[in-house]
Amino acid sequence: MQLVHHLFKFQPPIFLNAFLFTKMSGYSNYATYSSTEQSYGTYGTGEYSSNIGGGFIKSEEGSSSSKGSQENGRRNNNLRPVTIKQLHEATLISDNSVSIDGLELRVIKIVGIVKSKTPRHQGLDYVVDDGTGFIDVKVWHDGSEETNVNKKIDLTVNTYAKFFGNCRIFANKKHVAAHIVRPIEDHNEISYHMAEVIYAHLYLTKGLNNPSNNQLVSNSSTYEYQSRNSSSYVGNQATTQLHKDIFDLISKQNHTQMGADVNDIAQKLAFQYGSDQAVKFAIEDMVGEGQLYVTSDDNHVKTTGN
Amino acid sequence: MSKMEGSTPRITSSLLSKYRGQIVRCIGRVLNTTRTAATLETCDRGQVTVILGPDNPTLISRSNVEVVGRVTDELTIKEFVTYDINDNFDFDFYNSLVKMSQNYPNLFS
Repeated sequence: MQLVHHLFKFQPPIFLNAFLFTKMSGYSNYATYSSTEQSYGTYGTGEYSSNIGGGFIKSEEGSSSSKGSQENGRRNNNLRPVTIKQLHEATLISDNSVSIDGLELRVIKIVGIVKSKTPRHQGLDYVVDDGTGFIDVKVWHDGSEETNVNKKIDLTVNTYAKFFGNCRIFANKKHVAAHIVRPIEDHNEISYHMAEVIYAHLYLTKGLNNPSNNQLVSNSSTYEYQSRNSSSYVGNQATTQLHKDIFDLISKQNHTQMGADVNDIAQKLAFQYGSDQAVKFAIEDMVGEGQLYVTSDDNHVKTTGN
Repeated sequence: MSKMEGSTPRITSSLLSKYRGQIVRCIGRVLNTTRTAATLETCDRGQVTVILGPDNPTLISRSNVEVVGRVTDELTIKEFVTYDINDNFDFDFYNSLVKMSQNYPNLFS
């Protein structure tokens, strides 16, 4: 669900700097998609595999308002852009489900060239090539409301189209059972799809998300205070190594009445940080922010919050 | 990851040498064309010569196409099939994606 939310909220993904996601006009088709897939049962908080971090998941799910999200018994209605190669290499979870990047596949989207079209008794069989592989795509015409729309869609061989459906396994071979197929007129959708495939992959394997989400744990050590000595020096995102070193040095003298001598600290760190003036400025900042306080005179400080 | 059978990596003119002898796909604008060969301007503003397949329809100048074919030793592309691409295709965007996809062979090739 979060994946859908991210992809179609037109939030620029962190690693793609200048790409114009607002050009994705073809995505109005998503509004016509309704889920006809069977329920896969409830999903606990293990919805995204644990390499993203437990704290992050809980907070994201609470604030997400993407469609299909419910309080408990969440249905995993996400839509995942994939390549045909990913489908063929997806890991088998059970007899009829596969996973990619640790998350079970629900509805997938592929974009590729229609290489062949074969009418069948109750539908249509396509072979699709997206540059990463070939796959059979079966479209069923079974009389339901939604597939009647599909009957009118006639894809032309040797043109690009997009397919939404489920990945199925039959006789040890994977194919796509497509609910929705649409021809592509704006071939920039090929590029968009590639971008989305990469983004979704990185999202699931590296836990990319909104960088302002402070609850992201794991490898954001920029925000973690490295030293074990400090107890309460957390949460300040403007922290620099200089501040940390100053804090460390000063807190060593907290037991004295007057605390640390500013000139003394500045001298000790001057070589490492360029000049003692730079250190003094930093100390001033820290006093302003309340991390340090002035004791007997302007030249002596102690740390707060220990 | 082993190379997928039936995989036709997307290339630009600068990637031609990497895929010598392999089947690739290349999107570009037709600069000029004869009955036997055409020149494409690829998305990285380079050029590639396409040796047209004898039974294939001729390419139209100034149109955007995707050519699927084999890279020859002379770094031309021997065309198998060509698909139409729309006129408003954003080459710079596609170029970035092709370059980026080179970093993810597990996804694309």
